[in-house]
Amino acid sequence: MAAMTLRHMVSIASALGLVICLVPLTALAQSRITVLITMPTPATAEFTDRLRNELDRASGLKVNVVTEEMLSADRDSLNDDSLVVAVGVQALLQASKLDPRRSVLGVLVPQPSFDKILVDSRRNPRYFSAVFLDQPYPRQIALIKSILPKVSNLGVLFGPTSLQSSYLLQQASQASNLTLIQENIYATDELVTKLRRSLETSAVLLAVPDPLVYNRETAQSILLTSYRYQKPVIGFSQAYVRAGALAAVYSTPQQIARQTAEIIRQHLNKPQTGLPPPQSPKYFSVDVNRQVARSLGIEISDENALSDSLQRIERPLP
Amino acid sequence: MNILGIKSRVLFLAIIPAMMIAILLTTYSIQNSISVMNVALHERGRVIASQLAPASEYGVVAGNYAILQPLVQQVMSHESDILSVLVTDYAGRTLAVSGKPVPEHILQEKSTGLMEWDLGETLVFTSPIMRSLIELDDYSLAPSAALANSVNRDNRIGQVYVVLSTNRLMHLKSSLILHNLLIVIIGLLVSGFMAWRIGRGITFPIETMALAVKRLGEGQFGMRIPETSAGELQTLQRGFNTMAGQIKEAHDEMQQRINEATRQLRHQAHHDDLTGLCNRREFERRLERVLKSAQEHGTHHVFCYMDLDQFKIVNDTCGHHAGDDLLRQISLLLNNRVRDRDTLARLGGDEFGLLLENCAVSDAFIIAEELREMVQDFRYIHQDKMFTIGVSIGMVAITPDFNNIGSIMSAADTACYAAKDNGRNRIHLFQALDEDVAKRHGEMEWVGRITQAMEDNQFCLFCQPILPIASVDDQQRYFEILLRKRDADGKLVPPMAFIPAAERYDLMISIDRWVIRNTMANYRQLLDNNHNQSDCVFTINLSGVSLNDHSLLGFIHEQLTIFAVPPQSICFEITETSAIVNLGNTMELMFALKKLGCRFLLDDFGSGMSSFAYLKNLPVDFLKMDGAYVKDIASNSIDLAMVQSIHSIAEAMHIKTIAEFVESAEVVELLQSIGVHYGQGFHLGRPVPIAQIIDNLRVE
Repeated sequence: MAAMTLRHMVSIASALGLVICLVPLTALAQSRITVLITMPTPATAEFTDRLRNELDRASGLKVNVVTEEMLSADRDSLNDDSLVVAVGVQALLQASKLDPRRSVLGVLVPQPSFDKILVDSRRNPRYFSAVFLDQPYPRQIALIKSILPKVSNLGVLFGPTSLQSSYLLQQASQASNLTLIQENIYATDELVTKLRRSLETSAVLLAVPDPLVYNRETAQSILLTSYRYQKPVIGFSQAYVRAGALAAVYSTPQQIARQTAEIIRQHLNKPQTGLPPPQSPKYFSVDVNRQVARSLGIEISDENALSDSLQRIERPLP
Repeated sequence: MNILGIKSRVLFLAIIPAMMIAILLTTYSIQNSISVMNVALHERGRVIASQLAPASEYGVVAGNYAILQPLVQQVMSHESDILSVLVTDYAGRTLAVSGKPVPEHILQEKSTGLMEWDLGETLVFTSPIMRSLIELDDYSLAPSAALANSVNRDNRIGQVYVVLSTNRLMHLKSSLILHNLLIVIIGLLVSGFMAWRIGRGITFPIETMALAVKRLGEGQFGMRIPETSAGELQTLQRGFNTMAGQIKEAHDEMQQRINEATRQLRHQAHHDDLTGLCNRREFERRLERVLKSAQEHGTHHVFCYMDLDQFKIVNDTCGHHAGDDLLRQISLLLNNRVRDRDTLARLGGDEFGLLLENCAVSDAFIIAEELREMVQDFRYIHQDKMFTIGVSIGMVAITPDFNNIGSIMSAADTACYAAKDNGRNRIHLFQALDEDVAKRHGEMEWVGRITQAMEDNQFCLFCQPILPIASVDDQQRYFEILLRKRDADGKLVPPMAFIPAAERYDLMISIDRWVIRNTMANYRQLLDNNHNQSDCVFTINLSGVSLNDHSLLGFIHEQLTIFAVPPQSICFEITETSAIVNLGNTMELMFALKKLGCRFLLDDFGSGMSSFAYLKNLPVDFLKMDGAYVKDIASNSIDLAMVQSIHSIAEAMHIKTIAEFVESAEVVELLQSIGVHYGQGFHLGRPVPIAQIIDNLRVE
């Protein structure tokens, strides 16, 4: 862990060093990638390292890391023609305020947040795209089908934000012959009542990201209530699995970085076409809480096997 | 503190520090325990409240109140001190409750953290039920909350109240205090007992010593204490014993001396200092007892009153020491002879008393006679002088007739006088008739009688010739003038019948003067008859008292003048014993009379102390040898030798010798052979009335 931390710190330092050295040479750089971060975190470091590795190995592209702080201090520190990769909602919001001609790719951003920023900034979607944090519903349905093959219905609590994409889930569940038991929540007060109602009938609760429904404060109540009803919860992040969800499909920063690098290379090859449309994570992992599984009496196969099985469903072997 | 005994002090010494330590420790421990208990109770309250709060979170958040009630009940049942437990929602609505209601005013309080109230008998703790925050997003850089409409809400979703009772704590506190006090008291009692036990090792010997000292002070000198202790105490004990021993020794010695002194005092009270015999008082006491015995039981006792003759001479001649010595010797002598049960006492001066108890008069006579002879045979020798003593004994048979011892003493006195009257050195038994005699013998009686006798010419002069034996060229004829008394019947009374009385009542000077005057008168008659011429020499006896009479010289001179008697015709006879009573006066008188022409004759030479030394000093012309030697010279060679030696000495000093008691021709012959110049005695001439001699010498 310490080595990791040290390594990250070295990377960050070198990145910062690069930024400082290259600023006077911006005119010379034809294709540069600037990673905008709110502040250095292990996740950003993981992302940046992987991204740099991917790009350098393939095309010798240099990655420049800039924090919001540095950006606000010197707006000219960004090259006019460089691609900005904004890590996180906050960084994306910041990047949206840059020159509209500049290409911005948001990563590690929930789809609703991206949509909102895109609308608010009125930027051209050709130069403002993202790799979402959210896993596509079919993938999640596939996970449920993999670990709980016998379930026939599925409980979902939608909040105001997540409700916009509820039709996607409905489609996905229908495709998998699952009955979607949907509860819409518009205020925190309704949570417990609607959660109980949902749990009374549904076999499994699928958590979809929504700040109103699934936040730090409600997490325990939802998990405990589900547990009391002996109904598993399928989370949307690794943290959710650690907190007590039965399983989750998610993407790590490295997986996102790999996907990001592919997008960047593709974009640099054909700059005139602009950025590809926003897309869900291409690479993902599955995590299972074995303790919860044991408590609920559910037999689950290996995470890698699950992951591979999901991969095969999405991209059948040629 | 000063009024406490040593035992109490030792006890205090042990207990007070222990008590102070115990009190301090107990106070500290109680305070500490109480504070710990207080803290513990508060801690428990806080722990219960703070643990119950998260435990209730799910029930409150999930609205699952059914699970809250058992939780509350469980808390209640597990903790005995809990009075009530209350869980409310954020609005204060009761969700679950157990036990008594929580005070209203506390429910009004909105707490953000753990709070507590101390209401005296109860402690109330409250803790907010906070919503748990669990991170669901993998990347904090993409918080969904950041875009959410939700504002930063109050995470307090409810409140937990726990009410604890302090009753049990109070009870614990009071029991703690009680137990501590009990332990302190028991500890003090135990330490007191131990101090008492240990202290006894110190106090017991000291108390024993104190008691012993007290006893010693009260006079129990035999007091000793066992030397059982060690160290200083043993030194004290040993010291006490040594001291007590010395005190006892000193006390015993003192007591012995006191006893001795007391015994001496008692002895002195009852005995005579000089002789060691009973004294008069003791004698009278015994006499009284004896009289009583006689009166009550009719027993027979005899009382002898003994008066030494000639004692006065020894006393006067040799001094009081000699007199005392004589008395001692006589006492010893007499005391050796009396029976054990008899009492010999010195009644005063030269008077002794002998009480013969349970003794018949006849036996008393034998004893008294024995004593008398013993005294008679006794010779007292002082320096070169020898004295013969006699004793006159008045004997009284103690009969119930006597009223008191005074009358007995009086009777004995009378009898003793009678013995003296009868010629001394004899025994006189008191007769009732003697009373009258005694009366006549009274002082005034005698003075009167002797004076009367002199006036009535009841006295008369006799004379006895002193004749030459050996060839002496002396033409003078010597006659010794003798005094006789003629009683009413015309019977002659020997001088020894009245001389002692006369001596006693100082009548001798008168008698002597009567003799001198009448002798002078007779010589005048003789001269008148013979034409104023006579070759007769009259020898007149002078008593010792007269020799001391300074006026005697003048009287003689006057009489010689009155009767115109040639002093050469008068010769004075003096005895050694009377002469030496006051030798100075005697010599003075003798020289004065010799100057006149009178001559002197030393009478009874050899009878008493008879020192030849006096012969050198006394200007005597004649020496009359004691009759005791003379009368037996025919049969006793010692007496003869004495006479021979006296004569030869006298002759050497040119003193003529006279032998008296010449009662036979044989004696005359012997005297002649010795060369004694003159003789006197019945053989040579009996005493005849002077008138007869004067008639015979009338010149025809």
